[in-house]
Amino acid sequence: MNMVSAIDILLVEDSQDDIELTLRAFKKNNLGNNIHIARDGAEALEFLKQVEKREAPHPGLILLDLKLPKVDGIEVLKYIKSREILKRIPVVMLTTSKNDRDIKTCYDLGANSYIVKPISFKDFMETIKNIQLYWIVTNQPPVVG
Amino acid sequence: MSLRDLGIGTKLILAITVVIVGISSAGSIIIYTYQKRSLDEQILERSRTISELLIQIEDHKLISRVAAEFTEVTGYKLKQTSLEPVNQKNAPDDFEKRVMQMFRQGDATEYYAVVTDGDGKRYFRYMKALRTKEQCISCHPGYAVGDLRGSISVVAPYEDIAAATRKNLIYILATVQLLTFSIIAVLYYLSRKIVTVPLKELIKEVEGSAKEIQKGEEVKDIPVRSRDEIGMLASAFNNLRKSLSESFKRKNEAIESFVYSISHDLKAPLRSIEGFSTALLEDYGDKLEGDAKHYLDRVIASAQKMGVLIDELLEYSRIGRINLTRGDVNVAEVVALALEDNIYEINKKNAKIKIPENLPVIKNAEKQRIYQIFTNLISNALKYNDKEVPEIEIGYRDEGDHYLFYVRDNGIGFDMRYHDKIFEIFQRLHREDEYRGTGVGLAMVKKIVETYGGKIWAESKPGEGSTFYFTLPKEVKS
Repeated sequence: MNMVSAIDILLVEDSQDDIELTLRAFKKNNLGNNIHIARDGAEALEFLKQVEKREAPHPGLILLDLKLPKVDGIEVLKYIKSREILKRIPVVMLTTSKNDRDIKTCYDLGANSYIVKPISFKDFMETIKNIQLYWIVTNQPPVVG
Repeated sequence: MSLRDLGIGTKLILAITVVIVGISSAGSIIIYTYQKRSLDEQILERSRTISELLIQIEDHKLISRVAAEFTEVTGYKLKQTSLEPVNQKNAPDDFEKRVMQMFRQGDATEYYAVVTDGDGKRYFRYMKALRTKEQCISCHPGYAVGDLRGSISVVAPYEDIAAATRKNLIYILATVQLLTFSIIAVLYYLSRKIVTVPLKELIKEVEGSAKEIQKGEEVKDIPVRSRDEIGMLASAFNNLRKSLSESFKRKNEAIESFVYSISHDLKAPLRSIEGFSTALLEDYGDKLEGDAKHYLDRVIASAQKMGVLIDELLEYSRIGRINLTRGDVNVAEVVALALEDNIYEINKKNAKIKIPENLPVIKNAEKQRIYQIFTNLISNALKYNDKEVPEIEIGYRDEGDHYLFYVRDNGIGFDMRYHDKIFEIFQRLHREDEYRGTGVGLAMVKKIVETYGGKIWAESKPGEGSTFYFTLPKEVKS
């Protein structure tokens, strides 16, 4: 499984706790992906620009928090979907509630899916497993090269 | 009782009464005075005329006859008198004596006055001076021309005439007062019709409206029946109510959006507490001693409970604020979903469920909300039930423009004293270790029903079960 799933993942998340819990969940599920972390929207944009210049590895998946300091998740999403090199990378939005009005906006802007950050840790592990199953194993977008 | 306690109509009438009575009294007095003066002038005129006439007559016998006739017609006494009377019959009384002495000293030719006699009666007295003329000297050789020879004295009874005038005055006053009171009666009727009754109606309507506002019901505008000040007051009240309810709505929205963002932000640290506690338990559980593992379980359980609470609070704050997809909601389908949602409890408690074959369709409703109503009521009916075979009956009745639904159980019931309390958010009748719950369920159901313009209530007896009734319009207003 590791052979196909060794894609790079960009995690855009401002909460240190959520980052740690996500990393731990990946580890617990034996996912050996290379996870790049951006702590806010500005950092995410910087990383993505490096990707465009091929100074950073091309991520196979972006996990993007909706509410971010400095540059909002929606702004980052808009940037990704407007760039030739980045627009085919699947983007999964992270949000705290499924009824968030912004989710609709994200879909309209081309987000591929969304995950409600669960309160329960067990549910969180479940979510990460689902990410693994679909976005990392099943759905392999064409890599622009 | 002071003037302040009187109604506006009474005050107005009182003021008008005072003014009219004042004016009519003053008018009556003026009429009386005028009449009295003209009476005096009338007597004076008659006295003068008769005196002039008598002076012209030469024949003494004729004089006596004319005088007698005059007295008979008018009641005035006529007398010729002198300071030196030839005939004792013509001797002057005290008044006549005094007047004639005055005549003698000056050139006045007449005098009159109203005098009170020795018997207490009043008389109008008139005296005309008789001066010696040239032709008189032949018969009365002792006189010079212009000398006072005597006087004609007229005594008119004054009391009777004055009494008649007074009687007149009473008639006048009575007529005027009668007129006054009829005017006041008409004014009173008109003021009631124009002012008091519409004002009272308005007050009643405002009070009714205030009660409805207090109950939180939807309030209709007060009818504006006229374009006068009362009508203006009614529309001013409507405007006041509108702006109050708008500002109330804005405040409510602000509170709900505050609750929303607070709940949202609370979830992040909660996720950390739960997440790291679980990580601790999973990664280092075997190293924990004594109660440590148990304590950690409690932390995780509490965090999860708080998570549920926040989710429910978020959901509660969304009702009416966030519009979900609207459309025809098949209640039968929704009830099936709600039962599915509670299937674990239903099977565990071996509950009997009774639902009618055909349930109606609610137009322009949010499926999620109707589902929330039923799933909460069904879940409560199961939860608060200690019978061996819990029974739940769902039913409805067509009531014209709305449906009346009910969810009946044979559970533990509640004391009707707490009827209103059970619908309040975070209000619970039971300890957490008796029945688990957050106290949001029924509050949420109530809020949904009321957002749709319906009503909710319950009937219950402890130990015998409860029936929750609620109404939903056949077509929900957007």
